[in-house]
Amino acid sequence: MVGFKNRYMLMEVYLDPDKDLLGEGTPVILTKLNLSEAIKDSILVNFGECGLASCLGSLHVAYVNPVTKLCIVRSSRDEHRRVWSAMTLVRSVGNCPVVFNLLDISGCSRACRDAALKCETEKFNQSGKGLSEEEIREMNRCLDKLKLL
Amino acid sequence: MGFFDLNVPYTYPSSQSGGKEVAVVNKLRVKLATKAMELGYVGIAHNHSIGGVTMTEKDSCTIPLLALGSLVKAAPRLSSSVAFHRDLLGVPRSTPFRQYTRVTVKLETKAQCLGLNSGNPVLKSYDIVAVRPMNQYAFDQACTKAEVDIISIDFSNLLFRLMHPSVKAAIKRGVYFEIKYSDLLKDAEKRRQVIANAKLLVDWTKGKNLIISSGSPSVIELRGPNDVINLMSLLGLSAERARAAISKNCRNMIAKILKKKRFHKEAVKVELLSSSDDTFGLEQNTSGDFMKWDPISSGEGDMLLEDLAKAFDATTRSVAHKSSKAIDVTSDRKGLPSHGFRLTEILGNEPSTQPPAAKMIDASVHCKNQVSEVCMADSAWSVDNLRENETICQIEISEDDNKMVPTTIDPLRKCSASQGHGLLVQDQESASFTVKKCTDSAAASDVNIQTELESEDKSMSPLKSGRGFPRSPVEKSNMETILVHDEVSLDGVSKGGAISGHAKIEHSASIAGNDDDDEMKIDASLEANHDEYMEVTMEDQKHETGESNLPNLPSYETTDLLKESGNSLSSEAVGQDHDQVSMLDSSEAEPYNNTFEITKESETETETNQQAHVQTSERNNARKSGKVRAKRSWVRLTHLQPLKPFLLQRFKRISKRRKHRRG
Repeated sequence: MVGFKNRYMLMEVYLDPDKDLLGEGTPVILTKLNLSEAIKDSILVNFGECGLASCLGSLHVAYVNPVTKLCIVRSSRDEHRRVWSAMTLVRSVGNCPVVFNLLDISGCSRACRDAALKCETEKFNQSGKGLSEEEIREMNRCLDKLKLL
Repeated sequence: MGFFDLNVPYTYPSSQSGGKEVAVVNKLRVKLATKAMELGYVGIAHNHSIGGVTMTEKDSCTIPLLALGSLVKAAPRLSSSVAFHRDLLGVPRSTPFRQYTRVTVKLETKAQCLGLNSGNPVLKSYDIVAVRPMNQYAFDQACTKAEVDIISIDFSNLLFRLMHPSVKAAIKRGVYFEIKYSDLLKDAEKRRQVIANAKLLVDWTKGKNLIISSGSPSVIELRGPNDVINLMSLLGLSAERARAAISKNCRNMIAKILKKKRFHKEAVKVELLSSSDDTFGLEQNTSGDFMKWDPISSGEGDMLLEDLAKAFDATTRSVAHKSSKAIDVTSDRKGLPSHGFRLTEILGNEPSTQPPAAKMIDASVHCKNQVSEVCMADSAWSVDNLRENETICQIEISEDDNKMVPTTIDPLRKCSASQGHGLLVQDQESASFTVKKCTDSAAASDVNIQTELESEDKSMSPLKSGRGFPRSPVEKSNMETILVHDEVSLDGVSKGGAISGHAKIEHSASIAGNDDDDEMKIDASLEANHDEYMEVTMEDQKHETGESNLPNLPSYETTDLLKESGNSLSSEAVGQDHDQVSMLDSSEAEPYNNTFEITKESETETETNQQAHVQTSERNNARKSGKVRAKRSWVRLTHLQPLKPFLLQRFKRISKRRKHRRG
């Protein structure tokens, strides 16, 4: 038994879904920094300073893959619904409109990693042909990071 | 359980143009549908908002359902993405993606409220009818009286107060409330108002009769089902209730609406098959169709994932075959002349994709062409056949031009070894009824009537299940008790028509649902009615007992009654006569029941009473309550026997008085 429990949320980010993005470059590159910034902003707007403060202790963007646009957000179990709602209410990262969509939620990092690996391969297969050399290299780097999670 | 989004705008009231309705561009519609599909939804409803003072003909349904080809063009990787998300959500991949049409009427004046009745042809052309009340009066009317399915309240700009009695009345009537989550996502100001107002509704409804939909004219305000469920925690809705609100409630509502639209009195359904089919080879394919029958299919606009994948493969291989034929049927249909066989020809080379729908379209078209006068010429059925196929009957109806129309009737309960007999009648409204009667005494309670009032411009939904539609035993017994009601009131009181009939059914169903004791009482009293009624009719008809297995008797009597009913003009009256017929048959089917009034041997009385009540208790799935009732009505009957002649004379008055007392 552990005293402090976390939730790992595997999220999918749709960048600018109103526009067609076939064959174009992505309008914004997802990083841990800008994602956590957007999530914190949303918590602040929707739940206020106290809500943000209580979430802040455990909130962490553990993993981001800019190629397949998956990310893993960790939060304490008590606050994870609030964080999740705040993520749902996020409308933009930087200047780019985004939509967060939850794919999987799990209680330990290992389970989350397995689910993420499955989703990564699935997503990679979906968009496998259209990727450049650079992106494939980036992808492999991300997968290595994910395995170490 | 699949997730539904029952508000995808086709037109929507825009805030920029002062509440005027703005049509969504086709490209955006495709994108919305694609996104909804990708996020894991299995059904959407295209919503047309009407804002004008009066409804006109041009408001009736013109929404073209999206074809598969356009979706594939918009998102080439759709099928794999859909499969991926469905796996994560636990929705079976084989679930078809369904499309419905919905109308949302802006409700302001008294006249508009009155226009919302079940006979309105504009509203009839849509699958789902919703209202957006704009003032207190309209809201109260929508909750208590108007014939609508959904009350969609604009929480971001609430112009009236939600009243608890109204909300309760609406829930009692089975009207659903809609919460649009797109307002939550728009900006902080709107979010504040929506949460403040909707919390009250959520609190009052407790998640019952609540559906959640997007209602957003842009893709950015569409969220996945899981996110929506979590978002509803902001409104104080627990996770499982929110899940029900987005999946189960929607499904139930759609099933209910389609049942109401396509079945007569929500129970009787008729299907016509085209004359081009071979006449006697029907058992195998139709019984197969019944097994596949789907209560929530609107009959068109359904698309399967494998079709999608196939279509995608086709696009990658060659441009010429980029759309699947099965789906293009819906768009092609409008251009076709009203000959059923043309469609079957088109579909002939691809039978595996959507044959039931095609057949249904065929059937409805065929139905239009038929002459109004139909007389029953011949009824052919064989006992062996029936036993094997569990009583699927074939009836032939000869028309004026002597064309034989094969009809198959009705799914049957597997466990009952009942023998069925069916007939089909068409009246001038092109409404067709089938009454199927079980003449075996063991299955007397299984009188299974299905009729359908066909709307002319709608293709019927594929009828394909083992049992017409899932119905709980309590509901079923309610149906039957209502029939008794009708019989009793027929004597003196003139019936109000279809609406009142439905209202009655719903009313008593709700009573039965609320309180078991109530249900028992009602059942008991109704049953007493039933017994008396049987007595009367039996004397009228000089019925010989013990003929329950004679096949010719019911049809003979039915034809008599049909001839009588031919004089009455309205289709509703015909329907009532059919009810009468079916009631007659159910009473005939219990010969012991009839005799025990006449024979005065107390032992046989008790025995037959027991038997009769075991049947009724089977109906209710409560043997115990049946016995209680048996005791009751036995006492009652012995009391009544000295008064028998008196009773016969004053039957009408007694039934009225009882009704009054019950009320």
